[in-house]
Amino acid sequence: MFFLVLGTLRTRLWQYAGVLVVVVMSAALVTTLTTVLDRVHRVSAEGGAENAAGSLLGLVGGTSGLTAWLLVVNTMSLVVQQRRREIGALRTIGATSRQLRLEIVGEALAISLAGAAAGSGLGLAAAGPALTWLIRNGVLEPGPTSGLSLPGFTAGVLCTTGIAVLAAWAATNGPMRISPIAALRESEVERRTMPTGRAVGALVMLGLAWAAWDWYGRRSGPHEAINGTMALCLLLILGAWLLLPLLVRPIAALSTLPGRLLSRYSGTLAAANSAAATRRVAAMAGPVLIAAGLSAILLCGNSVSRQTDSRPTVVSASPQTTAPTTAPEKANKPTPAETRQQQAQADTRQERNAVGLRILMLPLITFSAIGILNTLLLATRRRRQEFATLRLTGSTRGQLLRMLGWESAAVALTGLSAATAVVTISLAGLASRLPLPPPDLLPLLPWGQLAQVALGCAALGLLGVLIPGVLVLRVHPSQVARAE
Amino acid sequence: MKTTQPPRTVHRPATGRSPALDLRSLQKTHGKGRQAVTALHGIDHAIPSGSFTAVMGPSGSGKSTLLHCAAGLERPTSGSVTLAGQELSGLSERQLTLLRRDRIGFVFQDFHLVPALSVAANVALPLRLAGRRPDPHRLEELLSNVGLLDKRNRRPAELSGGQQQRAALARALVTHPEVVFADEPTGALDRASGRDVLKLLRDAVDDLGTTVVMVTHDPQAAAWADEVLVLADGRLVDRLTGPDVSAETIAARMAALGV
Repeated sequence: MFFLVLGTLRTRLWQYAGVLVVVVMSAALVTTLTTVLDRVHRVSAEGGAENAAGSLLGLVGGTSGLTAWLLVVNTMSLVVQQRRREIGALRTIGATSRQLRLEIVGEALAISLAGAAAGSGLGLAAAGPALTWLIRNGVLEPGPTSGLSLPGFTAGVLCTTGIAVLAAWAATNGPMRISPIAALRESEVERRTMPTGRAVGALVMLGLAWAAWDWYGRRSGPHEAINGTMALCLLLILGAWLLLPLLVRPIAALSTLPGRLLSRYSGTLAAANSAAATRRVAAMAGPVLIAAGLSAILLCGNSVSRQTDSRPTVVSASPQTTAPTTAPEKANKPTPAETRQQQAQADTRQERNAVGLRILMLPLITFSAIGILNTLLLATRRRRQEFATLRLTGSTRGQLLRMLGWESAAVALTGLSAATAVVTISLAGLASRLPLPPPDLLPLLPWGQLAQVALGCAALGLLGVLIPGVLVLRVHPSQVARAE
Repeated sequence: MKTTQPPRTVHRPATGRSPALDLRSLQKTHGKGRQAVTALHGIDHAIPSGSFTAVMGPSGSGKSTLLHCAAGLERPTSGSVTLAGQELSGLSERQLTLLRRDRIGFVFQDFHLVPALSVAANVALPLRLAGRRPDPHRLEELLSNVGLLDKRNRRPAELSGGQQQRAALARALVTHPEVVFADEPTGALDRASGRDVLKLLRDAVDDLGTTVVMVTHDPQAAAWADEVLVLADGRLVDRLTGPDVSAETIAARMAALGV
């Protein structure tokens, strides 16, 4: 299958552009983090500083790795869907499912190896400045020096390649089970909103979320409550991502209602398109859910931990979720001097939390922005023929752009609704475990920042649909129809 | 598409040879319960080896379902399909895939070439999938026969519809299949390109002894066959052979069916 992999990569590299960017960034991030840890490990005799660094950097790596994996799965699913007819034709003329799966996984492997090598190189170069920055901002103790790290480079290449290969494998799971004839029928309407594997995966995620929440519930303290909330939210995001196809139809009906009332033709078309292609809309809404959900829970977690930190008599431990701390976990009847010391420590922790949050949010927001734009671009570009048909039957460019606008509203609203539900459930859980009644929790939440996250995701969603839409619609419809 | 009438001398009798394809009580029902639709109602027919058979009928008559069941792409609800002595019903999905790769060729209305590969790589694809190295001389001969030798390094998007269909035909013939199934192979082509493709299919039957089963709506295209099967509502309602296989007769029979 090597020749097929090479041939496809040569002519369709643009399909993998999004995967390549995410892979380069993930590899750079993992390499930087592992190199920093390696350098800390070399100077750390007792392991305290190493544990603290590992706690923060592990969280950054874990969150970003999960986001990268979800984004690569999403992109690979769209790539596979885009080649549905080709897969059907190849299976008809005698390619086995295994051969086709190897082809697509081979393509992902080739792309990820190239991207991971480049990204790890960048990561090694960035590790020195990152280490200096972390020490200067008090996240790490002074001592470690910058330098090359073989474990860092190896971890970057292996982790990212592994992520891409697993993502490609997961993305090809469903399409290879379709019969060759069904795959050849491009226009065949999606029959099942939720494939069995996806439904089982969602149930497993919800079960794991419950188990994680229960496990953290047996431990006391706000530190464990916030950690439990983070674990619950991450798993609920995964579950909600899998359940998205079920949410699309009702949310699309609601979100396109203004469109149907204000611009009847384009609004009705947008509603019909969104309802008929639930899986496509779910794939487009996925990155919005991930970006909004993860950003919101990190902001809320940080905000709540900062507020609870400033109440030393209530909170006895610093939450390590967003930043490491080496503060003692004691608060027994403090003297005034001890109270001042505690206050100073709390201030330091707050600063470190803020730095930690910036470290977490930067890769997350960048990955998510790339994921949203890439997914929407791929999904919109593959509808060229549909747009050409609408243009040939008399739709104006303006009508089609309005239709795309309403569709992007459905995508953004689906992702944001799912994210809101997940974050609300997680925060309700957090409130039940903190010594704070829910009415007291609400003012602690960073509403302004949450609104910025929601607006940012919605804007990215709109741009991600409209930019490729404008580009596709600039081509004459007869040319598009011929090109297909 | 309209094609000119084929030369009558190329027709052979469609009987007296061992069947390449044997359909027995073939029934296919799509869906279940109230939504069940029976596409084929017990088709019985044997197609001799080295013959050219056209399958005609109105839309929804079961032509494509018959082709898919005969080629092992869909499993019949009941009845049996025997292809070159191999009964298909007991085969696993993988065995069916390998059978299609080694013993069956396909030509589709929409060509279905792999856009990323050159014409030569597309033609050699079934051999590559089977792990075999294509013989360069054989590949050259095949490309020359379909008139694409000078375009061997072009990609499908750089070819006309007729050229793409000829490349697809070369791909279908590269493994020396016993049966070639063609689903509306001239449906997307102009008259001259359609005639070229039909002539190549005819040559495959006459020169290579390949069995060709072609689904078509076009009486002119069906007139290139040795035998024409007419389906209506999932039943075999007519069978034309010998001098009856002419565009005029076929068109008259189809008109009688209200097509």
